[in-house]
Amino acid sequence: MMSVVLRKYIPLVIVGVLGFFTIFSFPLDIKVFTDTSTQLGSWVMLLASFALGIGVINLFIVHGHPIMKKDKEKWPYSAALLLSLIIVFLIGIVDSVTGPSYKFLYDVIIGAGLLTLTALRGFFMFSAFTRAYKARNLEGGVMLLATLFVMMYQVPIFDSFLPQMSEFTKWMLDVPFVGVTRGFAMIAGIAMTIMAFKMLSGMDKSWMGREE
Amino acid sequence: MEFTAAYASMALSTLLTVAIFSFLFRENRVFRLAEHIMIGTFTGHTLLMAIKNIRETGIDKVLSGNTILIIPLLLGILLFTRYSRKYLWIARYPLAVIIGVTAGVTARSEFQGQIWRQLQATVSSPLNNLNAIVIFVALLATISYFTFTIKHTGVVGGWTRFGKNLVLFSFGATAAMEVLTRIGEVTSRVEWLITKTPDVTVIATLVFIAWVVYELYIKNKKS
Amino acid sequence: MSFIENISRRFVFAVLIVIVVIPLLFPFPLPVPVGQHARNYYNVIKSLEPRSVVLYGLEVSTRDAENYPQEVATLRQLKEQKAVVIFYNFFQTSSMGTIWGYEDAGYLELKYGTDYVHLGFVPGEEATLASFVLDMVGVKPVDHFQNPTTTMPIFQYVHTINDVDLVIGSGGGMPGPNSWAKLVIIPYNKLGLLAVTAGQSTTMYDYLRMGVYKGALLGQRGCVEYETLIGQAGRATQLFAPLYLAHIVLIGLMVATNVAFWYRLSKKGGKQ
Repeated sequence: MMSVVLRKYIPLVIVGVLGFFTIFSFPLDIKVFTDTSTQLGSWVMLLASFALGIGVINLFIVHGHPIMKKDKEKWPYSAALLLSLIIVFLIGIVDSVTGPSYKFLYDVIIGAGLLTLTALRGFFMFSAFTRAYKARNLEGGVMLLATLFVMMYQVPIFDSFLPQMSEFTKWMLDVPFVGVTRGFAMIAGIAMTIMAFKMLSGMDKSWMGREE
Repeated sequence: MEFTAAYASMALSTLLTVAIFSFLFRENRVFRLAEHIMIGTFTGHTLLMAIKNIRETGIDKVLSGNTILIIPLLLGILLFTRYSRKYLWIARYPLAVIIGVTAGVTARSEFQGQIWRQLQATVSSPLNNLNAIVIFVALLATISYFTFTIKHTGVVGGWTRFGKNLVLFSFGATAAMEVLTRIGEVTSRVEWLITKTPDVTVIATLVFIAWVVYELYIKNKKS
Repeated sequence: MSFIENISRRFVFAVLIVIVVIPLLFPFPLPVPVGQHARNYYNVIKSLEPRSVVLYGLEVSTRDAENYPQEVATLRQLKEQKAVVIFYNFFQTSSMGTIWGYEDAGYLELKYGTDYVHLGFVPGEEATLASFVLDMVGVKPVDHFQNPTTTMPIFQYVHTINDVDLVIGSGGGMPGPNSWAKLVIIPYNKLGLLAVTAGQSTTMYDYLRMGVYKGALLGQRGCVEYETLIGQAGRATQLFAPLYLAHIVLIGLMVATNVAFWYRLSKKGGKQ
């Protein structure tokens, strides 16, 4: 019994107490509540840093496995990943994250790499728009028209010989589009609020992982 | 260009970039290697920033007298018990703190910033303004399309079909904006290749083209 | 006409590379009319008094063509207005992008800790931001360079969000400008400006309409308009021609594909 209380119920109580305290501390605006709320924010900041470390450990587990098993197909790539991680880590420790060598390393390798990986998406989107974006029915046609209008609006040359289209697209983005995105925002807001209250009230225990 | 450590690093970056772009022809070992190296470097940076933050806002603060922060430091260490089958349940305590505070902030901010503010803006707009009426109609049509407690037949069906078309219209506009961002990223990267290390770019590109020719023509002829 | 429908994706990739490279090798000027959102953005910053405090939620991880030039252009105007800037990052990769930006905008000539401060990466996303605005020094006792914020001149008079005059939300993902709007601008009724990628701009139109954000730089085009207003052509203007050309070609290809598709359907009696 004590085991179930420790493993299940106390964490649920912690979630509920902290959550409702965070919600009500804001409108009440009493100094001791605000200070406690701020303190909790600092705690979450620290815990989030530890959670980042969990991600790194998972990476070591996932990529350490092929190296240990000497998987012919996978181990060179896993070794390259872990080696580059360790090299960057060591440079960051020796030079510090704010040092000039690390800054240069980030600019030339890490930042550049991120941009290159995301730029690949640009090629595939360009290809998808060219080859697959077809108006097969009314709905598809509506979507295609919207895409074409907004793309033409972004290109200044169309302002010169189709100014009415430009004005219409501008109105479209500022008025009916706003209505639709407002609808999305409200629906998402309701869903997120319900999900948050389900977690706070203990109805949603998915974050606890597997039941024992 | 002078061969310096800086230039060597930029040349390495160019080679990694061309290696990643080789995926555009097809998936290959060089791309896989470059991709793994990029992920490794990014994760190394993440680890450094996490350790930096734990040291600065946790350990250093505790050492300077703010002893209450021992609690989140201990809770953070307890997060790692998730790797033990026997003590997995202990990791629920630090998670409970994260989930509790985050869910509380989410509930408050979502209600205030995504529901209440939007309702206020819709209701406070004067309905003698055509734009306000259009926004109101679009909002109602979108919400009714996602309401599944009423059957979408008859008049309601027509209204929800209108809502569906409005939603698809917005998806089309979003897709157009998204492709702008992506092509911008391609432009940035290609510009870097051309301006920073043009010689290495030319050599890497020639090697790539030679490989493509080999794959498309010579390898096929052999087989 | 079927060759357009059956066009190889590798050919399309090659076309994109060619149309991006040509204007980079042979640049040509492109006048871009200035839109209302960029004009409002410019006017809000222009109206700042000297020593106004700006809390800049900056998410620049790469030297891209949108967020990075937006940052540089904004900081150039903020420097002209002699505003005090506090940088805050949600993502671990944004700390470096912040440094690139303020270096390129000439902030190294100014006094660190008095004219600007880089708080760096603040983990915990929205949960931490909600606490930060109530006690900045308490939540972030050291900046990105490990300098204590408690002794910095800026934080002798800036303690909470009430001491901030302008909030700028920038980025292209979550958390980002949405979080700044929900957690800071709306609850504390602060003046807000927006600088986002084109992809994320669609989710922000509602906030612009409601007046939560008073001005915005929407994508690369928004930044080009802004660079025109501040009179300093930057990276966005420099890289606009390839984007422009790529768009025109893409529009042409999309129309051609659909015409070919419908022509084929009409021949087959409407069967796909």
